[in-house]
Amino acid sequence: MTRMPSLPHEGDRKDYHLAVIRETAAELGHVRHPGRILASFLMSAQGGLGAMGGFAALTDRSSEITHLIVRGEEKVSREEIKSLIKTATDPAKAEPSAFFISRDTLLPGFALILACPLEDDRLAFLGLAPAMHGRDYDPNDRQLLISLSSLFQISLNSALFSTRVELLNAELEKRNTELDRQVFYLNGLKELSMEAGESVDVEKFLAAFLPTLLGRFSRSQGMVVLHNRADGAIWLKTMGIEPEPTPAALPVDRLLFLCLAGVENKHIQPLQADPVVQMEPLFPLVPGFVPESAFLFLVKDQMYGTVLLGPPLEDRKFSDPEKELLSAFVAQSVLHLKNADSFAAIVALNRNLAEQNQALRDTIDELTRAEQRISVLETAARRIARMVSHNAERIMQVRLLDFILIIGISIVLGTLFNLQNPKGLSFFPLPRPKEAKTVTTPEALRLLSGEKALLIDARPREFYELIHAHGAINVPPSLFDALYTANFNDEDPERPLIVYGRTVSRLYDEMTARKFISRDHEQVYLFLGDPGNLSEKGEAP
Amino acid sequence: MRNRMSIWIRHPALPLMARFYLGGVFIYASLNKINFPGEFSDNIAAYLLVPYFLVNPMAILLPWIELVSGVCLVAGIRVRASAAVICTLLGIFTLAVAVVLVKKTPIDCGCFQNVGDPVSRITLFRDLLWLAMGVYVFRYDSLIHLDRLFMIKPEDLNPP
Repeated sequence: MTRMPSLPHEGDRKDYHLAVIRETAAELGHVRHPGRILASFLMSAQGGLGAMGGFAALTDRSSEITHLIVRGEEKVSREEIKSLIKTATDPAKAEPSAFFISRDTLLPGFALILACPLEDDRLAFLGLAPAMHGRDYDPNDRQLLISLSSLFQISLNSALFSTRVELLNAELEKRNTELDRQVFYLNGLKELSMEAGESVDVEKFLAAFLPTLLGRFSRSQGMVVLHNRADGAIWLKTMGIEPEPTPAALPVDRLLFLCLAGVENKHIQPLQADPVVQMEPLFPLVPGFVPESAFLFLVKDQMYGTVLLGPPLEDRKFSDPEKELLSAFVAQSVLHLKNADSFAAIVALNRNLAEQNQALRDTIDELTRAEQRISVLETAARRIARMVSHNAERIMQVRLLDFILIIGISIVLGTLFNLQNPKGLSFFPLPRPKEAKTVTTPEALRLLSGEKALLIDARPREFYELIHAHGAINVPPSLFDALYTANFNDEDPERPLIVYGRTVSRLYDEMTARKFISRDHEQVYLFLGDPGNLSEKGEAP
Repeated sequence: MRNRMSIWIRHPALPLMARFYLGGVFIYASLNKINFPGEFSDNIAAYLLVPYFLVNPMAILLPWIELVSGVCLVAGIRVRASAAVICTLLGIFTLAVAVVLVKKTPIDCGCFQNVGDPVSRITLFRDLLWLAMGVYVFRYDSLIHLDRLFMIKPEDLNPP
């Protein structure tokens, strides 16, 4: 830094001031830190004007002092500079260029104070103690300070911009890191979703979910429990827990109850993952596992689940976005669990539907067969009905067979009865008796007149009474025995008997002649001619 | 009136009663003839309508035909055929009686007893009445048929 020499004349002094400005500009061109800029600015001004001491201060937009450099014996406090800020605030707003604080408000021990408005409502102050040469600062000195203040403003603004850019870069880098982590988590969520899309089974999904969750969120231990209270089914997956708990040994109901007691909102909504706030009651439940965070969720009615995560591998606290991502991860998993459960229900329904379809097909086949059988039976029934109807009509009709049966039965019964009947008849007429000879009319007249033959009318009495031959005796065969006993017992068996009387229906003469022959009459003659020819009166029977 | 008469005539109870009556008459008429076939053959011969070689077969078989037909009528077996047989017999009898009446042959009827029942107009009227009853039974009888009692009726099957 150039020390102020004794100046022989005004021109040298200006050259010296220009040299100071040039050197200061060259020095400030390499400095980016506001504190060092302040120090360079203070040293250049102090050296250029030969001040015994001074200070340089920088405030932020809230008028708080961020940098303060004091050189020389004069002392200045932050409170004194704060009072200066109040004095310089209004002029700084009105005038963007540097200006000198009025003498009334100068701090004790200082001959000159310069206020430099900066970007973002910041202010920089430069205070100089009186010069070592003992005289007051003249306008040339003030002009030097104004020139230096321009450099100072430019450098400090540049430095502030650089600092701000660095801060922004740092913030950006931090946000990038956060975003990368979030992208990492979201990738994990995406991978889990893809795996869940491929595996629609609850068991398989849980097997994929827990390693993904633990890997993405840097946990070495974890456990997920799903309990369907409707059918008592329990799914349990653990990682990194020794000894590995089993569903039988784990008090699932108690675990879920404690998780429910630990969440803030006791009314759990389906498909939401509620973080468990009170973790302490969960610590003794699973030996060898102290959960650091837990979530309780409701997949569907009566189907609860919880995710318990061990402490993170990294020794750092999770940010709120990370916690939200973890919660979203678990919530997304719950959604997949719901989908898997729904898919299982759909598969079961499809299976049931397939079984019902099969049963329906079987029923249809059976009905078809039954219909065919019914059709065959109906055809047979129609045939039988036609046959029965036909037979009934035939039965109602008069058939030749009926007559044959009636006549046949009568013939059989009549014949059998007649054979057994002592008074039965012979079916066929008996042949003419050999002993009875037929006589012609002359022979009959000769026998009647010459041999005193008896003329016998064999017809029934009714016919005899109507008409008969003269001298004829009525001896019908039906009354033969009685008449014979009464009239012929004393008759000579050798006396010729001429019997006549036959009709189209009955041969009475032969019947009576046969009876006379049976009574030992030797000369029985049958007269087949007209009996009227035998009568003297010519009476015909 | 005519309609009511028709309903009465078609009532199934009436031909049933006629059937029982006619069957009973023929059963009764056949019994004496079966027991005394000789006398019945004399009765047949007295009509002078049957050739002598057919008189005895008629005297033996005709009563049995009457008996079987009468039993079938009463029992309801082959009713129409039985009624037809009886109507045929009654037709023959009526014709024979008519001939005898025309010829004024003094003979007994021989319908129920062998003697003491001379042929008269009453006989002819009676035979005609029975013939009408036989036709009525043949035409309208439908109740209590033994041969249909155990048979499936067409109306029971109700064929489509």
